[in-house]
Amino acid sequence: MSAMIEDVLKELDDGYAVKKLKEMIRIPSVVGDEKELAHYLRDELDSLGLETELHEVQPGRPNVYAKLQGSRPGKRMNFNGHLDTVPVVDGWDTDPFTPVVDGNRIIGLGSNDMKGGIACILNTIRAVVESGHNFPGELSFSGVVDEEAYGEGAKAMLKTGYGKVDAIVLAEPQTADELKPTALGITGKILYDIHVRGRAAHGFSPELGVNAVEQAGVILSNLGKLKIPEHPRFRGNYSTLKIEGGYKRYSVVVPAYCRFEVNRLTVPGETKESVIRAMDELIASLGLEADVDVGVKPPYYAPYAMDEDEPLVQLFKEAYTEVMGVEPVFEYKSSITDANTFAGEGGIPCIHLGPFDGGAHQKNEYTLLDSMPPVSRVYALMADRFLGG
Amino acid sequence: MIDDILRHLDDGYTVRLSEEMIAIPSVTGDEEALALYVQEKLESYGMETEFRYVADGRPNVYGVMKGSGSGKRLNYNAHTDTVPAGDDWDTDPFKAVIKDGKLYGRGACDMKTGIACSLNMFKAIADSGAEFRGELSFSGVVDQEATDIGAWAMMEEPKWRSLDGVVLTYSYCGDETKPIPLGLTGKILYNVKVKGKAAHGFRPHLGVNAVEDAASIIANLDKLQLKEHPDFGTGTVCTLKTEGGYTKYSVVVPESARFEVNRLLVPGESIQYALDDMERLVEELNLESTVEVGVKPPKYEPYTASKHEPLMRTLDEVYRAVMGRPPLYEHAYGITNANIFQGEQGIECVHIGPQRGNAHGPNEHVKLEWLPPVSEMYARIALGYLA
Repeated sequence: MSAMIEDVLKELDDGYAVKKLKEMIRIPSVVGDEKELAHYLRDELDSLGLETELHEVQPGRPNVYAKLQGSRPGKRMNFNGHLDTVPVVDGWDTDPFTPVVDGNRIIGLGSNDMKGGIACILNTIRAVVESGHNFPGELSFSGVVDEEAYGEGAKAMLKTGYGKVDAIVLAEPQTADELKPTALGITGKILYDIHVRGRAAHGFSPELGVNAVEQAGVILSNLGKLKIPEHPRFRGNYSTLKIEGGYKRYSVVVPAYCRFEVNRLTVPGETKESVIRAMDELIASLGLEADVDVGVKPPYYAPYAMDEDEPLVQLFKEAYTEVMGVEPVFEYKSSITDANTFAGEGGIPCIHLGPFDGGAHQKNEYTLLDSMPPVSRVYALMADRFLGG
Repeated sequence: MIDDILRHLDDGYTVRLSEEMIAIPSVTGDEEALALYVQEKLESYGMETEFRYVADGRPNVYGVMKGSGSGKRLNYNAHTDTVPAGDDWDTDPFKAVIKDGKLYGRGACDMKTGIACSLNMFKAIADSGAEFRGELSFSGVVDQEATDIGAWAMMEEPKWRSLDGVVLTYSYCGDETKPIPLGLTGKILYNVKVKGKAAHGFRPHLGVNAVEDAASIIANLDKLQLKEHPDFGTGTVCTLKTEGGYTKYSVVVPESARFEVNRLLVPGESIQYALDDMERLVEELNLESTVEVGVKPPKYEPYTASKHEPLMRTLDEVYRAVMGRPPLYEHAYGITNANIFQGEQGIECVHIGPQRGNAHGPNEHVKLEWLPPVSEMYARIALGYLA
């Protein structure tokens, strides 16, 4: 163990992390309203001496970035969290925006998804600063908006310098144990938006028109023939999410228009273009009379898969095992995170690790206080070894 | 006697009434002002009138002219509502404009001139003092362009249910544009509800997709067993609407979907047959969803008419006499109030009225040359049928 990491580990302050988590729970940041939390983090990271930046993704919705430049060139590692939480669901027993400590639990909206993880990142960064050591490369933080909706924050970040880093650690509540294995890859997702245009006629003489609803029905009942490539780790699939077509106010008219949406879970190797092509081919094979326009709607997420021998994965495995005393558990998943953007679109190796997932997206969301210190330690070890300090 | 009545027909009066009625918008739902206007006219001919609200602000209007002795009871029926004006008119749809022998306006042919021709007849009979046996009456009903609550309400009343015949003053003018119906198709509006099972949209195998199951039914509608009728041929099937899935975007396997299918029925296919047929189709598809096959109003039984029925025979004779040629007939793909009067209630019906022009479209019109013969036919049918 290098001198630096010993000093960094010594500087970790788990009380600081809990204090920061409590402060962040008190700042509502339901998706769409991330601004106040972004400002809070900018100020905190400023005060730690980092070079900070707000990046307005949409009006009033800034990403926040901060970096600690090493003393000489080297690799660049980013610790990422999303700023937004899901909206408050019904049934909370406490105020979701007031942190409540109950034994080992800390309860509050975003406690694990993912203000707890962000607090651990702050703890790590603060310790690196306090250790006063030099290191090569760059250690940075990104707090992005909109993860719980369309992932626009991560997509915007990918276009900046922070999207050119060599590795990203996402503070998602994946604990890399049997309960919540950590992702080695995630399926992608694309939402087909299909418009069917027929020809209106009086509904008593349907032979004079082209029924857009019925033509849409033919496509939907043939979706089983959609070409979905095989992948050793994943199985792609499809699911129709919505359909609408026909009159608004009752009238006996052959519908000239119908629209439907189909979600496709994609596997590595598939692209937006290949997925659209597959639907176009299916539709062409059906010999329909209607004009069909195959579009896609956001959100789009690219799939990705890493092997266990990926250097970042190996480094994570060592750090995790050292801190936890057991090896991490990995999984190929289908739950979308911003890693779909960073790894799937940006090709940046990604690792997910965060504190205990006490019911993310549910009432009475909580994390376990004793799950936070080891996460900060794994982060510190990973930063140290990746940057080669 | 008929000559005396014909002398009292006033075609200028028909045109004036048509213009006045076009100036009173009566889009479905807003029939009250026109009904009041018609009631006033009927009163002025000495008829006994009645105003019957079938919904808030939506009255049917009736008028009765009693003959001198007992006899048959004949009603002239019109609907007072029109479809909405819509776009692309060259003139104000609610101001009658006469140009090149045509009268333009919403309701010009569907069916305010039909009403005007029958009012012209009632006035002429009243003014001539002609005597007849039985009873002549007028009915103006609401909601024909929607779900016919007016005609259904009329048939709730024993005195109208017991009519002997109805002349529907629709724009069936007996030429190739609109032959006289020898019966009409019926109609059912299937309302099919599909219940599946929700699941995360990334794990469709854990759910049952109601939208996809609904689509399977829609894609197999050609397996409905449409019966062949020697005169009508087969009915038609047309999906009118579908909806299913999220309202606010979420990646969830939809647990419910709904669609509506219009089906025209030919005699031999009852509403019950049509329901059973859809149930059978759904059953054969072996879907995982639960499917509920229902119907929404309006629904109509089909019917066929015989050329040998008294009112149909009277129409045929009168048409030849006035138009100088025999009328064309057909087994029609369409729905009118006759589906209710004759199809449901068994009252013999004929349709006759001025030729239509752009009904339901912009620049709806009627050729003025059609108004005098139609008024004359109405008068001759009344006298002929009640004789």
